Amino acid sequence: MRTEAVDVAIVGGGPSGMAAAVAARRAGAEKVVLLERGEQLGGILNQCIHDGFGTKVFEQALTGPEYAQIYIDRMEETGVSYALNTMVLDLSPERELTVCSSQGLRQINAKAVVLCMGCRERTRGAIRIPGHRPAGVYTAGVVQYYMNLRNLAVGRRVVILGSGDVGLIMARRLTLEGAQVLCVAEILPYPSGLARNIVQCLDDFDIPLYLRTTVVEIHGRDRVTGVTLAQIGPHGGIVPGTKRLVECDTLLLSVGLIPENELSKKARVALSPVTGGPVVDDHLQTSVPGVFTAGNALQVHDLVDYACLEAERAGASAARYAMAGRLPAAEIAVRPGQGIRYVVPQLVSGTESVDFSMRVVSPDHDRYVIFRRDGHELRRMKENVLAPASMLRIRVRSDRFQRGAGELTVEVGA
Amino acid sequence: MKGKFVCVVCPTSCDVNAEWNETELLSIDHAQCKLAWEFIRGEIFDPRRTVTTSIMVDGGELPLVSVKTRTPVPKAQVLAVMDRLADVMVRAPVDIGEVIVPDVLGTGSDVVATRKVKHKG
Amino acid sequence: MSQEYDVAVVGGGVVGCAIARELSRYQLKVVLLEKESDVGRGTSGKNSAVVHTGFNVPVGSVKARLNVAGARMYGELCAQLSVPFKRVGKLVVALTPDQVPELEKLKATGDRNGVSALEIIGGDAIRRMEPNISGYAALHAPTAAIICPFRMTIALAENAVANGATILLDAPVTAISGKAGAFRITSGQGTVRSKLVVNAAGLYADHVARLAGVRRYKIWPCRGEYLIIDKARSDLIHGMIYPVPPKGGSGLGVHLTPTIDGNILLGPSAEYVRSKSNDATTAAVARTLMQEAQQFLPALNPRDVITAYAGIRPKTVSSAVGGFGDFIIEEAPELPGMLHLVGIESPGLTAAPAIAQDVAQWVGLHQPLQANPAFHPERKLPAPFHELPTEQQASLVAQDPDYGQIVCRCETVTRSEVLRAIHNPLGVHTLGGVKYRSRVTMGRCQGGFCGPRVEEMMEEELGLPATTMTQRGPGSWLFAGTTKELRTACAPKL
Repeated sequence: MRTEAVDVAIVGGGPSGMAAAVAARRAGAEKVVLLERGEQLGGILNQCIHDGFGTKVFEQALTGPEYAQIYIDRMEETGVSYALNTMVLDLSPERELTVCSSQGLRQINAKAVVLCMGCRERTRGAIRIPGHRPAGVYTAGVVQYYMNLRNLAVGRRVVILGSGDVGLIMARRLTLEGAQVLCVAEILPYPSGLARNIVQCLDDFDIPLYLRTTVVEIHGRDRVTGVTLAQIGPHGGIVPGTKRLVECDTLLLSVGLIPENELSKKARVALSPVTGGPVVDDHLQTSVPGVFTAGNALQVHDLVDYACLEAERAGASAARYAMAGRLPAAEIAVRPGQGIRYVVPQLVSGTESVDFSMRVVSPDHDRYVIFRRDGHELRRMKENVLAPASMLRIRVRSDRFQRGAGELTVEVGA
Repeated sequence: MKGKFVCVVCPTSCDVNAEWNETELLSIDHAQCKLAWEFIRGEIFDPRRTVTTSIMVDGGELPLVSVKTRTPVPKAQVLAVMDRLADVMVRAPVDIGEVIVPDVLGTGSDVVATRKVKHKG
Repeated sequence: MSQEYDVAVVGGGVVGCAIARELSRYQLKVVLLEKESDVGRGTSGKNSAVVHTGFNVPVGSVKARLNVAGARMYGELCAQLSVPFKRVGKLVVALTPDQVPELEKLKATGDRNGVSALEIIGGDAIRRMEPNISGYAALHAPTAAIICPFRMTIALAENAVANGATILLDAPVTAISGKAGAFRITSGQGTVRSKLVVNAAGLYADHVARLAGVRRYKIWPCRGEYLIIDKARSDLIHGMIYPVPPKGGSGLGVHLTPTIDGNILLGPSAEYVRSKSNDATTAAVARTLMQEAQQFLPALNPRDVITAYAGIRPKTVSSAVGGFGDFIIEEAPELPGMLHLVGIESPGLTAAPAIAQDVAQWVGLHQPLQANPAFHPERKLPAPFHELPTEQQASLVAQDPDYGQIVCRCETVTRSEVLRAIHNPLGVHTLGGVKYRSRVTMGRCQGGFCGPRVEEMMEEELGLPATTMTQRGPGSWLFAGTTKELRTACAPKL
């Protein structure tokens, strides 16, 4: 088997992978190779033909393909080599990648690796809706692929379960193309997607959003003929008398995304049970030295801008590691406190400024996000709107870490 | 007049209280940035949306090319734009930024391609 | 123009396919008629996927004889047909001392039925074998095995076809007329003539008998629901874990079974239902199954469930009557030349190869059996790519670049393997058919990534427009049309 050596290997050619590759080259890594299993670079952005990407970094509302093109051009400019239709079958903790394509199997020995495999959609199985198993139950991303890249429509009368952003975007997309989107049902008391998508994708088209409501049964043996919706009470049971049948031919699921980390597990990378992604330090290095990660493989993002900023940090760190063989030790543990579901990174070195990303437990407004080390306040940030759907990204400058000792906690407070 | 709006300019999605009269926006509060003013004035007096959709491609590596209106069109005309674009077909190759339908429905906005589509094969 | 056959088999479940394959050993023209778009779509594919040893069927019953005989044939049969088969063993667990006499009864039954190596073990021995299982004592059946019933049924059908049998899919039988030596069978794929008919229609065996004028059979559908546990928890058990059978004899009780693919099955329930097509799962039964399973395996968590399915047992006794119902395998006196297989519920999967031998003997009573010199018992499939060591994978890719393209990343299924499934010998052209033959879309993402790629490959390879594609046959359409055709439907107002 052919073996080659590289400085930095990137797994995944979506926006994060491309951003990491470009950053690794710019940070001085000589030989950077990106491996993509699909037929084109850009990943999921290729099917996201709607606009609204890039408002944070590029200060304009780009469509997904336009956003991807920016990074494809940067890949060319910086001389990143890449391979398409190429699957990484295995990754060892020593950073040996077993790579498979129709040209053959080969081994790549990398000084540093950046894992940017993205995420996958939760499926019907994961939410266990009883009933028959007819055709016509699709996840939102699959419908988006078929509609926007293959010119195939999955149905005419659609019920959407889950108010995740992809589902909301597809509610509008299906409506624009002439399908009837009957409603969006969300089991939680608040939407899972961004408020702007509720406004632009549902309110603009008078599509009802039913909160505390879910699909309790799927009907139809061969193809979906309808679903039974019901309200869910505070303790998780069906509210009596609220069951109703909605006739439809398609059930579209937008019930969450899961970081894709099968390859990380093979390399024995430690994963967080909360984010589903690797545990990382402020260099975005995982528990396995020299293995870095960013983007949706690390944590599910709602903005590609933040995924790319994170990936640039991971790519630059990987280049540094490839050249120096090590990075400053990260020994300050970061813990989510009151009101915070998770914080990334989970470890920091305290020697450099850190962009923390986090999600809150429940919706709130006009509160502070407070960073503390044993009673000392490191930073306090006012937030007008707090929603689990919106990831917060807050920078703490390096000099602040000198205050206090021990672990760092992040909490929501007055 | 008074009302509540969600600013959709950026993902922060500020909840804004606004006050206006027949001709102008008088005040807004709770917005995190100044872009909300223009957006809410638009929502009150001339609501507009960018239309993003796809157009059929003949002889391309993909059957569709994604497109957008270069600038937002009046919200009331969104579905009319969709109807106008329904049976448009272009020949591959298509370049990113290429004008597919100039000045769609007299809105002053061009429909442009948002990706490249090469020839098949 | 109707075709002329020696034997027509109605029903392409595991029993019908085993019969077709067994008859293809002889110089016989055999046709199998299946109403669905693939074989194994009924009860055959929706059960516990177990090769039973035969300790819970009454001594002297037809079930006992065919169960024990079938179980003995499975090892060799699976080797010949490249179907994975694992003897993982079974424990029937008594939770309390007062259940021990039941274990002793089962062992006595098993011993008399000719089951080998049965042994009653104590609580310590259970824990050594299965550290997560708590019980007072257990009956251990080391020869009990697991298989994949879909792959088994497909393999039998493909080997039958390779040996000259004809299999007609999408061929629901709507009429049977004539008599021994000259039957006419009308189906969705036209009319066939046959000297003999075998009714292996499973859940619909009573209906098929009635089509031929035989009104003596009645099948009561009894639904069994299962839960599938995530592969990540596969190390919870090593072999099958059964309870002491509940009284009344409608089933074996809720049990835990490892699957060939590394999941754990939990089930089944036993509930008489009105409609034979009602294989819907329910939230209530899912809860009960979990509670019952947790009695043996407290470490099990409802969050470990990845999906549910249900199968329907073809019972010959009603819920009101209850108790044991034996397999009925007979020629009705009012219609010679047609053999009925009725009530082939558990252990039907195990018994299938032995039933097939009985059927061949019956055929021999009507016409002499001459060996088919071209019969080849083997259907060799290459080992799945993902199971091979890296060096072998490398040489496969070097020979065939299609092995280098991974279509399904969750299960590491290659383009070459998907192509083989698309061009399957039975000519099954549904997405489901490709799925069961190649394991694409069966991984964690449930086809989120590979589903569209398989659909595209089918379009290219078979020349079928995507808009005509189905999940598992007519009615299960996948696409309403092209995106750009949708606007012809009435668009909502802004």
